[in-house]
This record gives sequence, structure tokens and C-alpha cells, in this order.
Amino acid sequence: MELVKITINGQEFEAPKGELLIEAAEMAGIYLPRFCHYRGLTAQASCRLCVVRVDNPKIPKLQTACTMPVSDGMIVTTDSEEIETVRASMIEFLLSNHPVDCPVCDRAGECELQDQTYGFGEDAIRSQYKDKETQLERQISPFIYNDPQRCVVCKRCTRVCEEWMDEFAITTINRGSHTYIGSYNGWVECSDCGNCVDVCPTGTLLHVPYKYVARPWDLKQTPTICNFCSDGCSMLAGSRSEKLVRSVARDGRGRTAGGINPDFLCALGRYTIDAVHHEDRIDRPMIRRGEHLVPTTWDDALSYIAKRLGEVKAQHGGNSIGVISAARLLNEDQFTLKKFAAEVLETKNADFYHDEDEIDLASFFKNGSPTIATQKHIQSADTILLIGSDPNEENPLTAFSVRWAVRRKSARLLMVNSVASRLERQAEIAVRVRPGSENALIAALLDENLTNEAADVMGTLAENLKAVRQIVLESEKVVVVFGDELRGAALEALPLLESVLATPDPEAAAAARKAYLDAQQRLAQSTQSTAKPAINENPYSNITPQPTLEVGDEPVRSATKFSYLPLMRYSNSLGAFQMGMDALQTDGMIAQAMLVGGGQAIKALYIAGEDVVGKAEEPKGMKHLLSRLDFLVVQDMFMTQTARQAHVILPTTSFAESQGTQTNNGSQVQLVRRAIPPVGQARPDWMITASIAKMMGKDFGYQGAVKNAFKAIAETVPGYGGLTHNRLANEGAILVEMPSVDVSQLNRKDVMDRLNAEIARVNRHAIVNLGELRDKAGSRLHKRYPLITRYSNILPLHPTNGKEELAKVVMFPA
Amino acid sequence: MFSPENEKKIDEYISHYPVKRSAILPALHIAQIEHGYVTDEDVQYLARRLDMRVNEVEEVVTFYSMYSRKPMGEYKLQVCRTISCHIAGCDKITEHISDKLGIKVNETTPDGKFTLQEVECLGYCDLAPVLQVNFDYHEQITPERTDEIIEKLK
Ligand code: SF4
Ligand code: SF4
Ligand code: SF4
Ligand code: FES
Ligand code: FES
Repeated sequence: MELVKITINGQEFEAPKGELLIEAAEMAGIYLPRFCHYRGLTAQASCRLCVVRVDNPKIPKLQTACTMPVSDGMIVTTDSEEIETVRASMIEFLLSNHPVDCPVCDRAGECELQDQTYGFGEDAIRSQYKDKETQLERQISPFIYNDPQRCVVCKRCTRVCEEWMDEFAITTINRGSHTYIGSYNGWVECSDCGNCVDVCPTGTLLHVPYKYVARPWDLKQTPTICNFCSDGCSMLAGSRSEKLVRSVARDGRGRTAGGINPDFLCALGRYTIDAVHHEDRIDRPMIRRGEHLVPTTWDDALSYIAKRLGEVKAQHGGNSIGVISAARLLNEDQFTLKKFAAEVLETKNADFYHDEDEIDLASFFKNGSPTIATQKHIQSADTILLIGSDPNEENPLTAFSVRWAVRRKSARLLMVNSVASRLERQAEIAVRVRPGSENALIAALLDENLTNEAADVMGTLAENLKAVRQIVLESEKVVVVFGDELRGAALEALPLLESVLATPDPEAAAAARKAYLDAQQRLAQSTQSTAKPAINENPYSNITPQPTLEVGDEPVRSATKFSYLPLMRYSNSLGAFQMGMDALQTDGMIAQAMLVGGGQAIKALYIAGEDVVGKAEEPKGMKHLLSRLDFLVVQDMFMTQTARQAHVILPTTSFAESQGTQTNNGSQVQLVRRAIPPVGQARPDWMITASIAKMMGKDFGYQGAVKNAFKAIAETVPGYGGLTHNRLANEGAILVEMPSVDVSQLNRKDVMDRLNAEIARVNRHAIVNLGELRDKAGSRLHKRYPLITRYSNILPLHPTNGKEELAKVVMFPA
Repeated sequence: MFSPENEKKIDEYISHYPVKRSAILPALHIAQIEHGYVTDEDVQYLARRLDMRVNEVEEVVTFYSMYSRKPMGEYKLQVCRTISCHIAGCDKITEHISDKLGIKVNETTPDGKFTLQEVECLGYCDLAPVLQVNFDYHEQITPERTDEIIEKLK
């Protein structure tokens, strides 16, 4: 990074060339007041609070530091009397139009208007508007509350909505002092991400579920990790009186959990936390007595399980018992379950429940691990190739990073997909193909001669595939983001891209990149619109890249041109795989096979955290399969349909009540911290499993401490060596390296043959979906969870076979 | 949505610009002329026609005082209320019109003739205070001149 010398208030500093003065000053320890400036959003320059005097180059008027890039030799004054007066008047101006109802405002205590006024304002307001905006406060969406009188019209919210979410769901209505934040018909239809509320510096936009719930100074905030998608955002879990009451990426004081998601959270990370205190939580162990499930004590429940599992093992052998976990359980839980299966039950059948559209990890990692991409790889890529899946609905942070890269770094987005995705608005090339034909793209990339054949199979034009291949070839850093649509041989073949599509000549590649940027500029300036078929206009790439501080620094793991981001389905799918909770690694039965084998090969099942009945296409049939088992243990947070079939139910903690680690789709392990004590008598999964193991005669040596469980992981799981919870607490996300791929082990011909065979099987009569799909960010992801939260109430997502079919639960004090 | 001539005009405006959305201002005038004000349907229709989002159209409509989202009187009496006009006494003009016609700001007379509005700077500060009646400007306005103008229009 090129540095320049600047002088602020007589002192010399170094700053990255082109950095905004307001950020450069902050790096040097000089804070300039602001409302509209927000790291990483486009410039607004409407509040005029950040004014400074620039003496070299001499500029006669005061300048806004949030729009001024630093240049070498720049001399700036930020603390003169003149500037203080201007700032104070700007604040007075805003306050003259403000209700100052802090005592009843949720933001009070973490309000930037309060802070800036204390810091830079005067204590008197000498004027009052006679006709200020007096729109009454009101709710404008299921999650957003709006009190327009408190607005300072910084437009952070509208910019976040457009630039991060690509929604444009809220906008400024009217102008002058009549301005307020609203929408076309007053009600906001959007992704409900709540980011607009987080970035609002005042009490204008507020979270509905958190309204009047707590004062910021009463909140205990615990940095932890979201338990939903595989991206793994950090969040600050706010609790009051041992209840989880809010979840934010950044609180009003600008504190974040310092994770991989700058200040971003989606609706799921933010508004589903009420599941933690949901009335359907199981709060004590239960045991079956005939038709009924009756509460019991932990000791009774555990010793009964130990006895029954021991009996089944003695009678039918270890392999007659199956262990199934949910992919969202933490590493410690998965590891302990696997250990329990292997060392105590002595069964090969331990598997995390793979959804039908879970990525085929076994094929992807078959010959070792290709370079796995992180969010930073996306944010600093030249080209992003998205194959399959819709990150906007399944992995909202990935979608955010992609938009970021396109908008801020002029990355080129290429999409080859059979499902519609809103990200197409940002794509340079978006090719819609036949369902199930995505594999053919890999063939076309690896072998140019296959292009026509592939295009035919995919139901698109060969030119489109050629264009994709050409751009990939001439880019220097390519991130391949893919969903479950790539399968089998296509996944095995991915590492071959590195040598086949190596950039022929780096200088030529740099020239091609420049040509692209210039062409984008010209396109933006030209008077003729040059729309090409199947190639979308890219409305953002005319913005030249701007250096920023927050994201997009060089990623640590990258010596290769290609890196790959598998869009896994659950928060810890990759972790579960790495912990060995994957039957294919031990030649065991996969979860589905165990379920089908109920009563035959499998006599007893131990299911941790997965509602296999709720997820089944035929819930009745699944119930029947479970009923054939000799013994079924279910440990879960909720009284799911699966739990109702169990002989013993054990209540487990949610992510907010336990400590542990989670590995995201970028193979970064992060620490989940305990924000509140366990609800009811719930216990963490790893602890329960270890207790049963102990009763069955095997002490794992955890001594009841999760740190010891992680120690066992660090000692045995490749890539986790040297890691401890303390290190994760101090360093944040840490990359876990899996043994890297050995391309020489790859039988190229065999892989290509199998790939071609797979392609030949594609149904060429399938219809290419050309429709539009504009669903809420994160919605498809949420549909995977059988939780009823405030958020899910607004989505039509519950299997209607839910509530009415419940078995009778008799509850009385144990 | 609009009459064939007006649809043609919109096509004509679109052809003037590199991107469709740039035609939004003239298109909104057409909508307003045709329907008297910008209706909900107009906003949705123009958003589709010009590749915009409804919120973007709404933002533009509400930003400019020349457009209205509510039915309006035949004549719009728009008094500038920004600083120069304020100093030059625009308040008195507003009050005067209000008393004379018996309507408050943003109201329309029962006969549907006049609507009184306050607007932001009209760009004629040197000749403040300014009253705009539909597309005509009246500078350095006084209560007496206001009476004359209104009488003429009655
Ligand atoms: S919640 Fe998210 S999508 Fe909805 S208006 Fe706010 S920023 Fe936009
Ligand atoms: S609602 Fe908040 S973020 Fe949006 S413009 Fe007003 S003060 Fe700024
Ligand atoms: S993007 Fe994923 S990890 Fe981030 S808040 Fe949403 S669900 Fe959680
Ligand atoms: S922060 Fe610079 S003008 Fe608002
Ligand atoms: S202030 Fe009235 S015309 Fe400018």
C-alpha cells in the first residue's frame, strides 16, 4: 500500500494514499465528528459535521473530511475556533428540529446525536422550527419502528439498504425539514435484515422486538457467533436479567464483535433469538411410560440410557446402534458424539444429518482440500464465479461480500445457475441453465472442446460459456462460490482448474483488467446503451475502487489463483465433517440409511438436535420407521416431532447457553460464547454424551469443562493443533488448514470420464427457469429450521403437519 | 396506462437519454397532466416502464413540489418559504392567502380551484418573496398583488 505524508494540526502522519481524510485522521488518533459518514458506504456529505480546513493545497472554503481523499503533503486543521463554531452550529441546527425525548428513547445511552452533542455541541438551542416534521412514530415493517421526528437525515439507513442488501426498501420522502424515512406505501416489504436500524445514529429506526425492553447500560453484551448459516457472522448477544433480548452486529457505541462480517447481520442472526426462550423448549429430561412422556431426573434418564444402549450393544453388536447429529451442533458436541460412537458404542454408524441439498463434501475433499475461500477472498477477488445456489437466500453474508466486491472493488461477477438469484443484478454475465446441468460448466472450463456439448446440455449459448471461460482465464484471483448443484466428479475435478486455466501472462491479465475498468467507465459515459443478450448490465462497475479500511485486506490463505467457497447448509456442516461425524469416512451408514434401516440393521438410534420427522418428506412414514426401533434417545432444545417418538428425551442448551467452537464454510473456526445460563435444566450436548460414556465405563477426561473437550480436538483433529478457546477468544476467527489437495493423485482421465458420464445423464428436456425471484434474504435458509419465532411468523414456512399431530405430553413436577 | 400520444411522448423522452430512468421527470409531468396528480398506479407503472423501483419514483415525486401525490386544485399557489423569502416576509403572504381563501397550507378550496402550498427555494431569491402559480412566477409579491392574481383566476 502506498503511503503519503499528511500534517494534521501541525503533526505529521502517514496515511494510505487515497484514503478518506476522516478515516486517515481517525487512524492517527484524531476523531472527527460525523453523522452521515459510515465506513464502507458511499459518500453522502450531508451533515457537514466533519468540516476541516485544508491549507495545502489551499482551499478557500471549509471542506468535508468524509469526501476528501488524502494526498501527499496535505496540511489540515481540525481544531480551530472557526471549526468548533461551525460544528456547534450544525448540531444546534439539528437539535432545533429534534424532540429531545431521550428519556423515552431506546437509543439513549448509545445515541450518536447525544454523543456528538456532548462532544462538540453547545448547551443552548436558540431557534425552533415552527413547522418541523411531525410525522407520528409508527411501525413500518414487522421489525422496524420509525420515529421520524428524531431523524437527522444522514441517509445511512437508505444506503445500507441499497448497497448491502440491494433492496432499496426505504427511502427519503419529501424534502427540507419535511423529510422523513419512508417508502412507497408506508409499509416496508424487505429482507428484514435490520441493518438499517443498527447503523441509524439516532433513535429514529428501532428494533420492534427490542422496543422498551432494556436500557443499553443494563445490557450484558457477549460477543458470539450466529448459529444459522455456514457463513458464521459474529454478533453481540445482549442479555438482561439472564434473558437474551437482542442481537446486533454493532451497537450504538460502534462496538462490534470483531468477526468476519464487518457490521452486517441478516434477519436470522438478528431476529430469531426469541427461539432461545421459546415456550416449546424442553426444560427437563423425560422418559417414556407407555403412551406418555413423563419428566424424570437427569440421573435416572442417563443411567437408563446407559443401561439400554449397553443391552442393545450386547445383544446385536455395536453396529446395530446409530448416532445422528444435527449439522448445527458445535465442534465439541460433534467430536464427543463421534468419540462416543467409536469408543463406547463401537459403531461405524455416526453421521451428521445431510439435507438433500447439502454439499457433497466427500467428493470435494476426496483428494485433499483445495484452497478454501473466506469472505476476505471474495472481497478482494478480481472475479467471482458463482455456480448454483442463491447466496442471497441461503448465505446472506456471502451475498453481501459479493455485492461489496462488485460495488467497491469492481470485481466481475459471473453466474451460472439454474435457480434465480437477486445477485444477478450485480452480475456481468448471468447464465441461467437447466436444473442439474451445472456440472457441465466445469467440463467446459477444463476442456474448451467440450464447450458446444456443454452449452447444449445446459440449454444456453456456447458464446456465454466462452465468455465466462475467457474472463476466468484472464483474471488473477478467482473465487469459485458453489452450491450443492455441483456434485461428484465435478467437485473432484475442481482442483484441475488451477493448471488448466492458469493466467497465461500476468502482464496481459493486468492489461485486461484495466481494459475492463476503462470499458466500464466508457459504458457509463456513453450515450448509447449497449445491451447484449444474456449479459446483464452491471450498474455498479463504473465506480472506481476506493481504498477502505474495513474489509478486503489481503486474505491470509492464498497462494493459488483459484479458491473455493462451498456454500454449506448449516452453521457447522464443515466442522461436523472435520470432526469425523461423517459416515462415509468410516464406511458406516449415512444418516438416511440408518433411519430407513430402523428395526432391521439398526436397533437403537441416538439423535442429537435433528428433527428427522419434521424434515422428512413423509413424516408419517418416518415416524413409523422410528417406532420400529428398540430404543430411541433424542436430545434437543425443542419438543420436536422426533422427540415425541423417543424413549428418552434430554433437554439441550442453545448456542446462547453454551460455549464451544464452530467452523464456517471458509474453514475458519470461531468461538461461541455463553451469553446466558442454561434455560431450565438444559445441558450442553457434549456434556450429556460424556456423562453417558462415563456411565458406560469410559471417562473422556473432560472433567465437566468444555475446554478439555476442545483440547481433545486439538490433539486429534488435523488442522486444530495448537488451538485453544483462549486463543480463539483473543484472536477471533482462525483458519483451519486441512491437508491440501495433491493433484498428482488425481486420475485426470478417470475424473473427466465420470464427469462426462454425469453430464450425459442430465435431462435435456428440463426447462430453463427464466423467471424472476425476489425473495427475502435468508428466507430459504430459515425454512430449514422448524422453529417458530417472531421471524418465522411472517414467513409461510411451517410444515402444516406441525402442531396438530402432537403426542400427548403429561407434565408434572418430577 | 396513458393516452397513446402521451405514451409516445414518453418513448420520445426515453430516447433522449443513455438510461431509461433519466426520463422520470418529464414522464411524471405527463402523468400529472393526464390524471391531475401522480396516482399510485402511475408510480407503479412508471417504475416498471423506466426500470426503477417504486421507492425511487416515490422519492422523486415527493422531493419536487411541482408534483403531487394527492388530488390538487386547478391552480396551485406555492409560496416560497426558504430563507430569503422568509426574511422578506413570505409568512405574511401565506397568511393572507389562507385568510382570503379560508384554507390552510396543503388544503384545497371546496370548489377545487385553489391549493395553497409552501415550497422550498424557487431560485429567485434576489426578487423575494416569490409566489408560484402553476408554471408562472410572481416575484416581490405583496398581499395586494396576491389579491389581484387570485381575482383574475377566480
Ligand atoms: S431491514 Fe434491511 S432490507 Fe429492510 S429496510 Fe432495513 S436495511 Fe433495508
Ligand atoms: S433514520 Fe436514522 S439512519 Fe436513517 S436518515 Fe434518519 S437518522 Fe439517519
Ligand atoms: S449471514 Fe448467516 S451467519 Fe450471518 S447473521 Fe445471517 S444466518 Fe447468521
Ligand atoms: S460526515 Fe462528512 S458531511 Fe457528514
Ligand atoms: S428563498 Fe425564496 S426563492 Fe430562494
